[in-house]
Amino acid sequence: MNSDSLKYLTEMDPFTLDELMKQYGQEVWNFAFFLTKNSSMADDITQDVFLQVYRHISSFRGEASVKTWLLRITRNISCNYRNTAFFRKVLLVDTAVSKEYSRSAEQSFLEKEAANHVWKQVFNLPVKFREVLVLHAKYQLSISDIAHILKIPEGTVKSRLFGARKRMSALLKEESLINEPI
Amino acid sequence: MNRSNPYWYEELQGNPLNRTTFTDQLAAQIKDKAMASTAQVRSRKVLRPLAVSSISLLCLLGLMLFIIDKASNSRGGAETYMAGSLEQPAQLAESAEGAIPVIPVLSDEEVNVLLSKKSPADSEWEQLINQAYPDPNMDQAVPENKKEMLDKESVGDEIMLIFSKKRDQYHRISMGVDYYEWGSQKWGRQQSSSYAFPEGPGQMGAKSLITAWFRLDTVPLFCGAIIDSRISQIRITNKEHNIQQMAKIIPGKDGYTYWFAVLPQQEDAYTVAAMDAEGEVIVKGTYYF
Repeated sequence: MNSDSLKYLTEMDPFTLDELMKQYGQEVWNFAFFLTKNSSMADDITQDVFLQVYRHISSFRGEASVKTWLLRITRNISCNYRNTAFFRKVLLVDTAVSKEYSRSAEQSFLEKEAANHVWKQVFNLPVKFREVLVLHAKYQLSISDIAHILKIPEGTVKSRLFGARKRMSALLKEESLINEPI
Repeated sequence: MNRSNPYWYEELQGNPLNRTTFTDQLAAQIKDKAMASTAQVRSRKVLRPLAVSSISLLCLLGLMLFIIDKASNSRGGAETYMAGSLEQPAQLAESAEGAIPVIPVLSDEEVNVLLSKKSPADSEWEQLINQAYPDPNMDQAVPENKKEMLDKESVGDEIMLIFSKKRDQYHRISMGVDYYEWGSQKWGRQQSSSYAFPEGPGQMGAKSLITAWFRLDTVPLFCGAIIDSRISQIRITNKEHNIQQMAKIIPGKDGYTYWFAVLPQQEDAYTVAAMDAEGEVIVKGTYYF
């Protein structure tokens, strides 16, 4: 599905929605998961992204690729969810207990489910590094596309990418030292 | 592989997790919700023309009854106006040839019949909100001055909120909410509230969103109009962010787009965030109750 077939739509039909989800559903989910590290939140975010796209398809003008557009919406919605989750965690009673429990639940999920050791380390990066690195390395987007999605200048993208790679190299080196046979 | 990229970039090409997480079940769930939201919009699109047709038919019936009575009755003037019918005062018909008052005045009995229905049709709700406390300053002959129902929302089984708008003689658009409560086998209008803003381009200055907020009984609610055409969704949250509600957005026939939200519980304050289709916040404000 290319941007030309979508940019003139004023309403979406179920078939187009199916095609869009088939082509980009996993990518949207992955990006939501990269940003939140929470699989049920990623489910909710993915649902919201496609519902939003379905209801507001006329807002797509074709100025970016379909993938870039979807990832931008995913990021916006993920930020809203993360802000809500942050306030919920901070303001609930027994916050320290619930925060620690959710962090260790996330960690053990990632330990079990991450596809390889590099992905495990990506999830240890701070979110600002993680999102830039994932968009560049996994989604293979250009610096300008990444800047468009994250709404930051291209210079900032470059400096965060540099920082992310440096941190990753250090993490992977540390891991290899730990795992080196004696 | 791009030589300037580190070697571990290759490991990031596949999925981050071992299993497929965007399942057929999730896709089906999304599609069901999308279809359900389409059905809601379509039924609203069907109901509004039906409401307009019903009111037009009632006006026509009223005129016919008046003509029949005029032909059979030799009395003139104000005495021809009879309670219990849709006739209009002969004076009005004689002094303004062809003028048809567009708000049929219902008798008390007719109003009671409508109020006794547990589920009045939208056209009937619209009649009811125009009967209650008619504005003495309103020129009854001007069609635009009647309240036009935009939407309704029930709060449980016993409370109905009717959202409407009208244009007043000061060239303002007045948005209102009428609060009806079911009791003793009929609806009773308990409260109402309205907010007016000047109509016309440029009248609202740099405002992107018009927001009014009320509390009717214990029900907090928001309504307003969207000025910035980029705004396509409005989210209302409380301070703790454990209540989050999306507003209903209703395009009006007058070119304005209206919005409403009924919140589930009383809070000290709610924040309204108006966003574009991509979720980017255009304008945000906090409102205290």
